[in-house]
Amino acid sequence: MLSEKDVLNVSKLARINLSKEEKEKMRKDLTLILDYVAKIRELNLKDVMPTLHTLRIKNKTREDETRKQNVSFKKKLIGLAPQKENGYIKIKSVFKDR
Amino acid sequence: MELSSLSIREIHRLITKKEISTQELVERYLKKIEKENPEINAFLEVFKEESIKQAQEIDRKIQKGEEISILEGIPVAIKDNILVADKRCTAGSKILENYIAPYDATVVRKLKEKGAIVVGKTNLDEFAIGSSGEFSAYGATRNPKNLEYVPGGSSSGSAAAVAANMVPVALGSDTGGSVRQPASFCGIIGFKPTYGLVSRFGLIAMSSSLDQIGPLGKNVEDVKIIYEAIKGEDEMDSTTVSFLQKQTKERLEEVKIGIPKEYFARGINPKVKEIIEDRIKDLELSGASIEEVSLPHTDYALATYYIVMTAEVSSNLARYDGIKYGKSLSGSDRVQNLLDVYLETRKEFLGEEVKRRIMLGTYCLSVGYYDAYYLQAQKVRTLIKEDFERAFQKVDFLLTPTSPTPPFKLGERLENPLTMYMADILTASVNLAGLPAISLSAGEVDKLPVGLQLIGPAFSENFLLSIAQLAQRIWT
Repeated sequence: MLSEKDVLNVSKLARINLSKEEKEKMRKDLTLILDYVAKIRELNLKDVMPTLHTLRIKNKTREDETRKQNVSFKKKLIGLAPQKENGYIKIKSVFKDR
Repeated sequence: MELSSLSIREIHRLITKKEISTQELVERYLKKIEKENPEINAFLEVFKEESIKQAQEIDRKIQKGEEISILEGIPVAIKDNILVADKRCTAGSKILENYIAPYDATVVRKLKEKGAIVVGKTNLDEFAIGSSGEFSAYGATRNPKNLEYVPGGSSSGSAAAVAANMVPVALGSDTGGSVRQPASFCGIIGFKPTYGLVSRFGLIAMSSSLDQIGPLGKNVEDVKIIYEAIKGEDEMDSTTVSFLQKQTKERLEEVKIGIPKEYFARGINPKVKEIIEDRIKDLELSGASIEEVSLPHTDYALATYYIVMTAEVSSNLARYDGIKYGKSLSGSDRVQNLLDVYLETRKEFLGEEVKRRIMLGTYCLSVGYYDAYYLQAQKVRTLIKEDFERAFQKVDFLLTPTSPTPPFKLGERLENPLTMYMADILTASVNLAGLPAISLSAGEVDKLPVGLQLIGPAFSENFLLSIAQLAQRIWT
């Protein structure tokens, strides 16, 4: 069974605040699911390579160059931000002393 | 003229022979949506005026005697996690309630270029996370075959829209069965192509090593036409490839179909099993050879899927932070600093199941658990993939039920998340191995649809679709 502390720790890492009721339900549900998925731990996989991707393809890269986008498209993208100012996305300050 | 009987080819014939105008045709579908949608809740938004206007333009072309291509004037519905430029794209989530797509997804651009009419956006489980359609923040979709039942998910709206004849075809996305399972529940056809064959640019990412866009329709040919229109390498999606195996066998008599015994083991509804076995007999009588095969790691597939998928979900959904787009509490009194913006925005606007999966994925990726869960799951994934490769050395295709049960009732599986997850048990391994698979309608149990899944080796789509077409002909 996951502890309350475990749930709190994961919720911090996941950047989601949970209400008291949510925390309790989450503890119960995650424990249930983890108990189920833990069955894969019974397999001995010492010499097995992980599959990160099903296609064995090489990385595709493109030239490192700026691509011209028209101003209206840029405006559209910035316009989607909840808070913006002078064509920039605005966020709360990240330094403590500001 | 019954909308239910119209295939893409038949629509094309009707409008080019001027037996019906494109406008009239589109209006008939729109009327059907108006009539049925309040109850079924398949569409989140319908583009009525634009659709009619586009139909009128096609009619003008036809009047002038210009040739039109096969997709011109065909109404298509798009799952609401695929971007249609300048339209709202919610992904079924409150957090994107106000999000207007700045561009077209590659698949949408391709359909538009070929003249298809995008009539609307369809309902889904929030961020395509769910197997019943009930996790949408905009209300559950109902199964058109019986309104008390779920249509399956997460492409719930796309499947229901096709089944209710609101559109002839629709696009969905399939991460662990989200195209095939709702197709099965609604008695239609759903196709998931090989990983990498269809661009995901403009698909709101759920689990990037598994996600694939695929078509839903009422016959194999329609699904094939849509698939061919949307496939292909795309410089905007670096995982896309253009590679297809040559089809070497044309007749059912030359085809070997494998029956993986683990897919008929415990947990399969006996009536579903019986129907699938009947369809297998039909194929055998038509000349196909049937052989039992084994996929020994099947029992670990669902657990593996729920680790890999939630890990990727937790990473992909980190972008909904109240900063770049979507709903946010950044201006509210509740938040003091940047961290609060993340914590409170996500608390407020993400749904319960989405939170659960982000939490689970975060746990599996966290220090001390990464090796035990995530890395271990990626290793089991190798074994699952190898199981398939071994089977395909012996047989051309695998045949299984699409879902272990017929559709279940609305609300029936909401209490316990694990019972809901079990709905993906026969479809998820296909995504883990990156294979193509199609769900065909196999029959009914107590007037509820039952689907059958044909799985092929990677890049075998041409072969798979032509065999699916032959099989469907035998059964209907």
